[in-house]
Amino acid sequence: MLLKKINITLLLLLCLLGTVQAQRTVTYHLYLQDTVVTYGGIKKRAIAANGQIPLPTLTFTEGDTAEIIVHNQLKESSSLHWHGVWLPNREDGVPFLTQMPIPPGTTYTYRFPIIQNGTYWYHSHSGLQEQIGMYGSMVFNKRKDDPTFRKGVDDIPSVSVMLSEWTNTKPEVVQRMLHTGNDWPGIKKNTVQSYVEALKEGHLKTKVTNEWKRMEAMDVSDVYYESFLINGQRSSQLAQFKAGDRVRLRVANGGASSYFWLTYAGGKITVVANDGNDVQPVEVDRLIIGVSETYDIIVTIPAENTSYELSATAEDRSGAASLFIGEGIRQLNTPLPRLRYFEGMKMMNDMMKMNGDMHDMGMQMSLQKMDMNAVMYPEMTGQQHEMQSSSDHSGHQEQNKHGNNMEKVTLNYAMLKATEKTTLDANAPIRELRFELTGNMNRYVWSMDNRVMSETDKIPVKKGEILRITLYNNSMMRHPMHLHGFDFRLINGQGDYAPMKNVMDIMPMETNVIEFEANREGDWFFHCHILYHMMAGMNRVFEVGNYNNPLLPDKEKAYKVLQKESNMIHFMAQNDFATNGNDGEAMLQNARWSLGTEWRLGYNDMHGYEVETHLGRYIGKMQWLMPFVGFDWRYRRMGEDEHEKNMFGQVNKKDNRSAISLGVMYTLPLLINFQAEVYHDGIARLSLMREDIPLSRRLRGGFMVNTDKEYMVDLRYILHKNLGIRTHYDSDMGFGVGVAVNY
Amino acid sequence: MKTIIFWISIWSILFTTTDIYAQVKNAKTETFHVNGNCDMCKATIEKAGNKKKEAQLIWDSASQSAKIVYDAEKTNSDAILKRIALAGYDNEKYLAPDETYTQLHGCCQYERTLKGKEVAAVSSNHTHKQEHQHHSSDKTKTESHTFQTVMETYFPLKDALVNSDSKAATLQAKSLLQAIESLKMETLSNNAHQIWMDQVKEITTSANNIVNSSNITDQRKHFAALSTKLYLMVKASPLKSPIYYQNCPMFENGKGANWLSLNEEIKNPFYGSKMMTCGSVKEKIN
Repeated sequence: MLLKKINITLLLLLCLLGTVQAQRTVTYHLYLQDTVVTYGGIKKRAIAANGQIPLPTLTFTEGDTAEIIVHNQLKESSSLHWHGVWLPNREDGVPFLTQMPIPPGTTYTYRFPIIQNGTYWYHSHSGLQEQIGMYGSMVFNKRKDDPTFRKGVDDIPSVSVMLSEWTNTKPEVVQRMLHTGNDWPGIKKNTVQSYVEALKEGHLKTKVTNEWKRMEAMDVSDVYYESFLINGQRSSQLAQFKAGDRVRLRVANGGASSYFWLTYAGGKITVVANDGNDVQPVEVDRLIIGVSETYDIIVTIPAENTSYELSATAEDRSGAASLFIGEGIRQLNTPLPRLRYFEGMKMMNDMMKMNGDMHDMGMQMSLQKMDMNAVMYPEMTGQQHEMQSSSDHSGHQEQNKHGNNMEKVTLNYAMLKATEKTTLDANAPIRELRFELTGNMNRYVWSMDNRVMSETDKIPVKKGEILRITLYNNSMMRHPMHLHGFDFRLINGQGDYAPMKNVMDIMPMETNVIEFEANREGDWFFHCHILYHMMAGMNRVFEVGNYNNPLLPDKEKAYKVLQKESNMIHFMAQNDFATNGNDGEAMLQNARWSLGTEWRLGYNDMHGYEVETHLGRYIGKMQWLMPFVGFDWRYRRMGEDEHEKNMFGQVNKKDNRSAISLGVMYTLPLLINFQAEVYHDGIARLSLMREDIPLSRRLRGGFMVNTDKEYMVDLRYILHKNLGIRTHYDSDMGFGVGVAVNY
Repeated sequence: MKTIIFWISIWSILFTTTDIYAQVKNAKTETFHVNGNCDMCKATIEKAGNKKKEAQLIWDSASQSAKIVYDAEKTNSDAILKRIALAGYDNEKYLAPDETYTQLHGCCQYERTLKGKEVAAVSSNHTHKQEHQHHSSDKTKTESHTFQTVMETYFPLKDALVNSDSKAATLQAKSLLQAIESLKMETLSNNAHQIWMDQVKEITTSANNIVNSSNITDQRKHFAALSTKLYLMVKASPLKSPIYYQNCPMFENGKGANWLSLNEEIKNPFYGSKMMTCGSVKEKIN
């Protein structure tokens, strides 16, 4: 008994000693407030902490205890997620999964020990707040006596570099526009890839094939951003550095949906860490940083009185942010030229099977080694042309020059090698999982194994189990897959020295394998970090062990809310106020269901009034099939234009008609909607319809024809994201011109 | 008639100037240092800087400066100078991307005086390469008295002019004269022999003139004449390695002049560092 007591006191003493030696609590107060920014040229609402965007950089040293006190002075709830940080699940900052949202007007404290070092960042995990300013850098310094301390890397000046983007459109509207297929962003970016443009560039066949395969315009990103920012500025300078200095930049991509190319005007870029973990230094000319990744890079200032541009160029080349490193005159980088979209479209045509599956043509792609988008890079393809021509002329000088170009090194995942062995416990049980990343652009539904999060339960995992996950990207877009709470090994051919990461970018058609030991209990989010993909349902939860989270008394209910949040119902409506009547529709949709009403309202009884309502469910990954139940109502007084008989000889005499129907809609090649419908009175109707044929950058065409011998053709010129001029001819209502408004 | 033309021109001048000012509101005028060479540069610089209703720019080659009139509410000098740099022209605030600069036309490859001095350990292979070339040409000098030997004295002369080194040019011209005198006719083909006999007098005169001229401008004039004659010889009597016949379009107020070089890369002997890379390859003689 006595012995036990002594033991306990000893233990207590030991604990105390430990705290005295290493434990240091570092406290930050973050005051979240609405603010107004002009990043996009006009005043818009954003969210700042302590008046700053990006949010303040939080610096700790490994061994510290972090205490972050959040004062939510917003009118909405919020949360903060510590990206890449190992911590108890309850501190992870995912509302309805690891905590309840922080209500407006309240204060909330996050507290966790810092047990790793490197470059991390933090951001809101509530709704779309991350898009409007809620991102900030985190630096965990190594202790001086750390055996992994690297001379020339850990002891040189370092600067946090937070990349982000800004759109003047409210992110909720951006999300809705993505789901409703509004192509205004394409018009702004000049990426519509219309038939006229295809014709001009000699790619008409490419465009037709593309639409034959039921694809819409291809792009490497979906959102139009007015500006791109480094540390909240389009362009800024680090004038504290001078010639000969080596500077470590701790780059984090806090963009909601933009990948960035990093290039440096002062020579090579040395990559020394990724996602907070040291890697063996590798020299490159450029690298792409995926959404939510972090890279630590070292650059050198080669000449006196000169500052060198570090450019962060959006992957779609629609803009860039600059950071000039050094003092004096500014040495610019060569800007990355506009993408060749039709080349990309051609490539996609080859890669896409008729059923919507991707086809890698036996290339077994992985680890960013083969960037299929390279077909669209003028700076690369230009090189190929020159190479051919130089071999014709055989000038040694020219060849030499290209030799240099050829040597330009682009980082890929296979080049990342850990500084120490990263092998996992050989005795731990291994569980293999496989996910196929799925989705379709047309309705902007993103999923894993064709299931959005609201259609899946949490995935139970035994504590201590090794999860080895194979991911295959069977979608047309790349996805930065992020795992909360753990670093995983990315199997990349470096054997025992596979790099540790917490985000893995996976390009279309790639297959990658990651593995990690699930040794921390709790509910850990695993999701695509493109904000709008996450909100569309591309998420899973690993439920490790049986974690009792005191912050979530009703876990089940909370999870239901989380599921709902990633499958929100969105509303769209449009109406053409035309000289011959009103033509329009309204729809409520989520990932699977669609409730829509179409109307044609004439200005007199002869033209008639007609409303059709459909409730349907989309089937399959590509969602080309939608069975539905419908309800039609029509009133008209037949005039001289009497097509009472339909093509099947069925007669419909009633001018005032209400009918219930069963039907099916199917998207045919060339994106033509085929609709077959049978009404309760036995009358059948088939129709073909195509909307929004991109004729030119702003001109859209459409047609409809059905077995009631009705037809319609229309042309619409888009003026604004919500406004267009439309002219159409309708067999019922005749010729009309009007203003088309859409929401 | 003359008065009418006079008045029309006055009006047109007035009209165009007022036009410039009418286009830019809230006008602010500033002058910045912008590097460049020729009229082609002027056109590119002004095109890059100008923006309708925002900025009007006039570049002057003599003072290497650009006068910018811009709408201070819509833009700033930074944005304008950045555009100019992205078009390839170094200026007070921005240096052009190296790739863009090298893609400029030969005439426009001005000397990049605004570039900062590189600090140690960055560029070393460049000088190394040059040394290597010299070395190899030294080696071949000891061979017999052929036309090859004549040309091997021509190239150092050219290099002296590239370096704007008048004294070295004189010395090299002297050894050229020696090589001409000691050339053994039997080493030439019939055709080459014929040409040599036709040209040797003028070749010797040009070489002599270079020796006797005290200033580099005259030396270059005689070098131009010399080069044209030797070109005919080179055509008739091919050398061991390919020769590039190169052209400087600007020499003597646009008359132009040619020279021979072992390298395809342009190093203009007629202007030296001022327009080092100005010129083009006219012909490659194998």
